[in-house]
Amino acid sequence: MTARRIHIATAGSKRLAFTFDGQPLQGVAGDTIASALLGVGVRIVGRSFKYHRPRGVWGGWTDDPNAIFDVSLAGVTKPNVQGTATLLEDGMIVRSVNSWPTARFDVKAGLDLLSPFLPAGFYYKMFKWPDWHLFEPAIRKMAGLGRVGPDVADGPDGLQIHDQCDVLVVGGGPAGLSAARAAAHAGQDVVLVDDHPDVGGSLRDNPCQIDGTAPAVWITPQTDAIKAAGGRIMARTTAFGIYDHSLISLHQTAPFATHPKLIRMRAGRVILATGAIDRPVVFGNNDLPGVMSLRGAAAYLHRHDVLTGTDITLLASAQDVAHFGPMFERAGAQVRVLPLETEGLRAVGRGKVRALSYGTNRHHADAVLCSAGLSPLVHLWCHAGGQLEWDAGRGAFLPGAGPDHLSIVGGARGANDLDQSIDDGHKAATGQTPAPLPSIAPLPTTPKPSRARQWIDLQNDVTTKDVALAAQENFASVEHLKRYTTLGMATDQGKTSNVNGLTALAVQLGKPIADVGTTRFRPPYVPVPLQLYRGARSSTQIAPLQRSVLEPQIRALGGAMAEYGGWLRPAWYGDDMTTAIAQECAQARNDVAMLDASSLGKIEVMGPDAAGFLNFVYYNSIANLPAGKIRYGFMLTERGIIYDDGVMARLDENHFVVSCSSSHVSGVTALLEAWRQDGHDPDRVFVHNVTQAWATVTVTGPKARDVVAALDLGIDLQAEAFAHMSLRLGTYDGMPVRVCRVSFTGELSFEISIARDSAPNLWDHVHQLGATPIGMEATSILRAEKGYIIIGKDTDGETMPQDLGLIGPRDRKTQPYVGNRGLQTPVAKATGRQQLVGLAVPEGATQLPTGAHLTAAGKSIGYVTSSYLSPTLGHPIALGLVQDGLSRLNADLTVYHLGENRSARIVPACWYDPKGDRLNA
Amino acid sequence: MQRFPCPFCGLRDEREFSYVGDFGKVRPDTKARVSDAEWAAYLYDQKNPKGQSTEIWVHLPCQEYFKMTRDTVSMDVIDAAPLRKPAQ
Amino acid sequence: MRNDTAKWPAPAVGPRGQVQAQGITLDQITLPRQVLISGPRDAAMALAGTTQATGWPDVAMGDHYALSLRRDRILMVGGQIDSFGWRADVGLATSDIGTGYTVFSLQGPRAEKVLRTGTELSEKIPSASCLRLWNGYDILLYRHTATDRYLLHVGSALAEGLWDMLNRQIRMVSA
Repeated sequence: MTARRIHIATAGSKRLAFTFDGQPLQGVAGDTIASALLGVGVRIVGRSFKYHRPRGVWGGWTDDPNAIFDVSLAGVTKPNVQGTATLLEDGMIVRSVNSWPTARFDVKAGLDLLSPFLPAGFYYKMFKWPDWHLFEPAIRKMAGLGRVGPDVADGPDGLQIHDQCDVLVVGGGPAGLSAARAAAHAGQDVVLVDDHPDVGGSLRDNPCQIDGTAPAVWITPQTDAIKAAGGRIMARTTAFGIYDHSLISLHQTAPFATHPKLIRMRAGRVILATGAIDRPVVFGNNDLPGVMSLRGAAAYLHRHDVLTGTDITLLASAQDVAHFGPMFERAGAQVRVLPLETEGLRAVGRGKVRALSYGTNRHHADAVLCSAGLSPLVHLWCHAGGQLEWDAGRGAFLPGAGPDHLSIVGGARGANDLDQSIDDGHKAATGQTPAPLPSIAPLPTTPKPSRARQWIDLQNDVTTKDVALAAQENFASVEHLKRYTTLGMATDQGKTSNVNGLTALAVQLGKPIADVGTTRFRPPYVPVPLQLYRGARSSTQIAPLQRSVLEPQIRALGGAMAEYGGWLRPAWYGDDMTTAIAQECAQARNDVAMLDASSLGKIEVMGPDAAGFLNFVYYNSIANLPAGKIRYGFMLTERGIIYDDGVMARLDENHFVVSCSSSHVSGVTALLEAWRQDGHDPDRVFVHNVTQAWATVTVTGPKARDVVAALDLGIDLQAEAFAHMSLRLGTYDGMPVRVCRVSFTGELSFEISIARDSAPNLWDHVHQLGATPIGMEATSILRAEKGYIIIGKDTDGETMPQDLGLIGPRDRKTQPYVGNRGLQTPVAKATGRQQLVGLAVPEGATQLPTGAHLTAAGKSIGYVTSSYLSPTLGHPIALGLVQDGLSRLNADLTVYHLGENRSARIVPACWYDPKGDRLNA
Repeated sequence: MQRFPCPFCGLRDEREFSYVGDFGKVRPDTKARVSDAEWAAYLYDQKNPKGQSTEIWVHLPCQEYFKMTRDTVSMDVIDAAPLRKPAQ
Repeated sequence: MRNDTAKWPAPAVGPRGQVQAQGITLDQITLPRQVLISGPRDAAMALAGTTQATGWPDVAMGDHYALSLRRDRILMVGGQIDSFGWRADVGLATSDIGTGYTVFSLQGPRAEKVLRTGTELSEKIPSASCLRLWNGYDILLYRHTATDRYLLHVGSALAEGLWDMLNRQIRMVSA
């Protein structure tokens, strides 16, 4: 015989169909996956991580390390689902993990025969030579639990909600119910959470009389009173982490295939009533399926009518035996008892326990229910910074000093008496000091020597011998022990293995457990889906791009959209990239082109101190810029590094518009704001980022003036009246426009800025007048032909103005400015700085790869920053940063890329219209 | 997740804030002589104390730069004060 | 070079259509005028022609009101200002925002729950400013006309993203 359903309360419950490793099975409503498997007699639910040993259900709830499954339902697959705490739903497809083809017949089970050769640290030692990376792929494939595919990575978005309350009570057992009731009664806004589908906790696992009545009769008035006083009760809600400033993360387990839900609860006070779990008894072959937690087995019996064996041996304290023994007998099992101190005990069986042997004795058993004592669930206490103290009597770490806003009550603080738990809860909620815990006589905790393997961590296959080996090899700190043996790692985070592992280490070191200490518990308390953390930030919400008001126009013209500096912009127009880019370049050089420049920053700087302020923030002198004129300039960091380039237009005495790179709008605005509030009078200068209020249509090319003239802006466009680097105000169709003569292409250009919602009309008009729309790729080539830089592409985190040959302000600007001291540091003045130059390839050679090393005498002295095939010139061009490049004109370099060497020559970084005749036309 | 009090906006969570630097650092007059060591100290030296620390933070949505004293062990916020005179 | 046209659905042309879910209505609305005014608060309010600057959880009324943004900045909604730039007479900086902010309204008994997906929002935590970060987006958030009607202003370049995020959250909240 084995585990089975005894139909008492669940008779007549709805049946739920599911499959396990392909086999069709049935559970009943209210089942967890584990209770359903036990109910139909499935003993082996998975395989262990390292040796592929058969594993059965150990625990009744989240303390189980074994029943880990990949579960699919309605197109949603989740890996590593904890079967003991996941409610069964009709149609679930359940797969064991770390086993193939099934948990029962696992082809890698033979690995267990190798276990003498696979001790702790085996992989570290064995595969260190010649190179771990040679072995890693195969080992990774063999290790690990659930399967993760693209479907798993996507999954449904997570719902994240912020909430708050005065008092959060974690755990709905007797202590938690008592605390929540008292706090709600005192007028506090109370939230009670419990990870089970109902509250009651240990009262439902292990029913006993309470206040002279049955538990169910006692629970209802408590919940009624909590709700009547305005308290909220959230079932199926796990508090899995406590973070700074009393933020508690709650995972609400909705039906399987729906959005996982995270509640970020900000609680004034937290009362932890998280209870306690059985500590496993360490004996020979104690990992065999059928060896279970005593309280887990009681929970299966009372919550699910599942009797975990018919020939049960209890391995527990006398008190537990007296309490639990009769329950299993009443349910129809034969119950035997073995004391915890039994010498030489080992389980016998293949795939499941069949008997127990000790000394010369041997008796039959199909279930061994164990408890070496209770381990309080103090994880959340530790997350919040609470200390732990070793209690030798209970063989457990109990909460010590903790933060003021946190209380811990009932089983979680070591109380295992019902009256004390209820009293604890009430006192914590009403601000009273809890009654002291009675001291108890120690239970035997040390594993007895055994020839059979004695398992400490069932999930990670850590035995007493592994702990001994670690200690022998001087991994004697608990944190080292954990990493070396993997004890307490993986999904169960040491809930069952922690104390037994420390006990074994203490024995090895000959130290008391209190001196050995414990590893630190960290969130999450139980595994949670990754969607909880990412929320709704999937696909286009991972990094939402900024969108131009002209995007519909651009798409209608066949724009191929791509990301440029955080904006979605057209890379080119039409189907064929290469020909499109070449044609767009030609249009701009020979005729007239148009582009959407709306993403360029438009930051208004206003006030009587505006000129002095910009003069301080920018490298170039701004104070002497006349109204109606524009100046190009750099914004430096205090180290002297170029942060951004842009143009400043002066509208009037007290009003400037700063136009920065598209990708730096927020950054430049923030820097301006920072300097405004630091060292300037913030009542005399103001910074408005109005980038999104305006859209900009740039008309560029030798025939640009004709097109702009036809727009009838009311501006004299002749070169003498409206020179390069100046600004004029006009109107288009009654709307104000700002027209700037600046150029990024090297051709005559007009940048026309207009209120955002008027821009589509302006764009359409310019297009009708014959301008060809061009994308960012053509624009990038046109600017490179002129040697115009893109910050962050042709400069890096070391580039200073002098590295681009722009030394005027450094040598002549008399007022202080951001970065001026940085330009005088030894590193700024050193020789060997990387400077921007043009690179030419030999006649007929192909274009250089961007990023290729520029080398001399076998050493890298720089790299290619931009490289194109210039349609205008008909040959490749490139820009690069190279050591002392500006003084090495015409030097030949070797270009190294992916094992190949080529040659290139340093040339001036301008191939087109070096005198600027076309620009100034 | 911590919560900080912006002196203007009130209590908001840490996603809205950014650390700026130690309180009390003053940019040297860069037209006077500033030794390399002084300049490097201005740029790079941070006190990073264990315990009480007084720092400049910025509340990003409203761009208020302010002074905050907090405990780097307990994470308690002890005080937050504007750097500017109150709104008129 | 990658063509990501298909990854990013084409943006709405014109106002986006109403979205309804249980207890939630989402609309795009048009406000008559939005002007940034920076400088001393009293002078700014006088220029805007309003007496109160809306923060949280204030309820703005009518079609001419001021939103409190910063210590020294308001956003005037509605109202009339004739010239922009530096106003030396009153010591104020003004910029016409036009449609630089796109405005959505979220209304209904469950609207507040949608908002709580993106920020720690509570009537118990007042704020002098209606600027906040919501699900990663910089927005202005305030109540208008009724305690369950919320207006959200977002920089127009990110309006498409915020609209999608609002829709994602509405779907999950009403699932």
